[in-house]
Amino acid sequence: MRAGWFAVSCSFAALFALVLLSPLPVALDAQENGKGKQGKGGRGQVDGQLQPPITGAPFGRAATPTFAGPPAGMQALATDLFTSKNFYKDRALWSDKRYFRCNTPRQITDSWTSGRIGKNPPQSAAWGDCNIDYPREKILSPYPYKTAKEHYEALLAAAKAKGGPTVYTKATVPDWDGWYGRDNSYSSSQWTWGTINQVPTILSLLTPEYQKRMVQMNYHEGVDNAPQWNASFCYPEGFMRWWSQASAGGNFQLTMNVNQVQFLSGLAANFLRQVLIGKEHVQKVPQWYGETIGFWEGTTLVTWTANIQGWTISHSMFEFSNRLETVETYKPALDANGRFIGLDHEAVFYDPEAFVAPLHVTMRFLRAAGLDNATRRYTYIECLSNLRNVNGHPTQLTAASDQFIDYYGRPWAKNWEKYFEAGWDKPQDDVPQEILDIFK
Amino acid sequence: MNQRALRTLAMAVPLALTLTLFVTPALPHHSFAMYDQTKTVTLTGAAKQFVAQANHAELHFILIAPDRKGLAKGPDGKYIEWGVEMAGAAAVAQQGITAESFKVGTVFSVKMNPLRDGSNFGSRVGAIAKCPVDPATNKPKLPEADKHCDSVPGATLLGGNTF
Repeated sequence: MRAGWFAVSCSFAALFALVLLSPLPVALDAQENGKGKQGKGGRGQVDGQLQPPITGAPFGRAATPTFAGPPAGMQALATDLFTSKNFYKDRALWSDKRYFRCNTPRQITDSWTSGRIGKNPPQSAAWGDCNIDYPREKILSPYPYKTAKEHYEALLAAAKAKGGPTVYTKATVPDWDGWYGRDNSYSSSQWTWGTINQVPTILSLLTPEYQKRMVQMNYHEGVDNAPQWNASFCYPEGFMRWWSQASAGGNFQLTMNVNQVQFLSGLAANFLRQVLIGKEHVQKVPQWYGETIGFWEGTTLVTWTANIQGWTISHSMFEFSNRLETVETYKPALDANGRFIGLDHEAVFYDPEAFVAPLHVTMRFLRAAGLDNATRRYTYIECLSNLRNVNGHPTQLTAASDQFIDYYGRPWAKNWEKYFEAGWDKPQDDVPQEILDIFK
Repeated sequence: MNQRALRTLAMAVPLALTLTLFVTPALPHHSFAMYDQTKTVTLTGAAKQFVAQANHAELHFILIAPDRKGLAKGPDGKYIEWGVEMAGAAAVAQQGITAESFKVGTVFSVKMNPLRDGSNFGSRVGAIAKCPVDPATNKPKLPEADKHCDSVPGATLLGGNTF
């Protein structure tokens, strides 16, 4: 029997290894499609189809149990997010996790698509696990700096004190080139994913205005089923989406030379981040993914991103302002034999308009392959969408709609034909001849 | 390792490999709230266009009449077009669903959760069944009335083992 289980274990180890080594850059996020036996979760895509709600995924997005009512020991509030007539009036309750029925932000965003909303929405919305939370004190930056500038300059001064910053030549620059994916053993600390915290804990990190904006999003996603995901409408992803789970921002292609280090990733849209070594910030207008400068201290890459366009993480998380800046470090991660396996990354977020204090998160990115890999490709993503808000709800338009854009069907010609060729005697070629021939 | 373990291994490895194929990429890049997940419709039609979008590939097709003797037409006398959304083009390509395998005129059946607003579009559920092609005529072998491609001997299932 033990040998049998060993065999099964070997197989699943092989499975995991193959997933890890999959040639596609988003393969490491396949955990979002995980299966299990407890709880209801978000909608994933397995085997290439759009799947019904999955249960008990091993990581964050869907892992917590669903309770039809308050879990043992919990008493429902008289008014909560799902019964409120005006959430703005409930601010005093926002710090109580029962107001959100102990759902994580991710569970709120998935309320309707996962079935958590129940049969009598919105009042029948399910409860989450009230014991799940990631400590606030671990989210707060452990450093004494008040601004990114102060932080970066302190690190730069420390490097100078040691004779740095390190200046590499083309021959000596660290060889980090390759394809990377997030190390999922870090998922239990990824608070930016919105999967491991009670909503009030996240709210406690925000200033009052940004608390209000987050609860507004919680309400309209969880109660009104009116999600406004960036990718639905091909909005820009926005800077902090690099740290969200589903964006796949952390599964990147890395190329580097003496002057710049480039991270390219994306799923619904492209994330292009370039660290300009030894440069200064020069862009005066906020950029969607900011402007990043950096320096080397030995084999540690230190970066400072500023000039970021304020936006939203979406998915029932929070917005950030134009004042967001980050200081990030990338350090080589080595195995027991001293072999390079990836990068240990830390990001410290400074946004005095949105956050009550600097925040931080760490992640390890594992290098799955070098750039010499024969089959990996970065496919540039053109976000194409026919979703539009109709009566406030994202709605998939079809060819029957005037607003539908047939991206692959010469949409420019469609416009001319509709407005300038009406009534013309033209060949009728709506249905391809190959189809008509089937029944000849 | 004893014989039993080897037998188990022999069964488990293919299972693991199969699952590997199934969990390979593709995350939802938009909400699916617009689809009615309580309903599943099964349709058979002829491929008009494979839209190889990175985020969500689509198959557009002309509906075949339930008697399978011609293309279906609506009350307005026009042919009826449907579309089905799937995972990203790279993910479905691993299942053999590509512009090449779904050339114009390819007859197939698919199950989907339809749009809540009643429009002719849905999100794919389960495998796609491709009707076989008669080598003598180079035309698809169509199912009997009210049946789908999975019922035709020689049909191919893509993206799943059952229809």
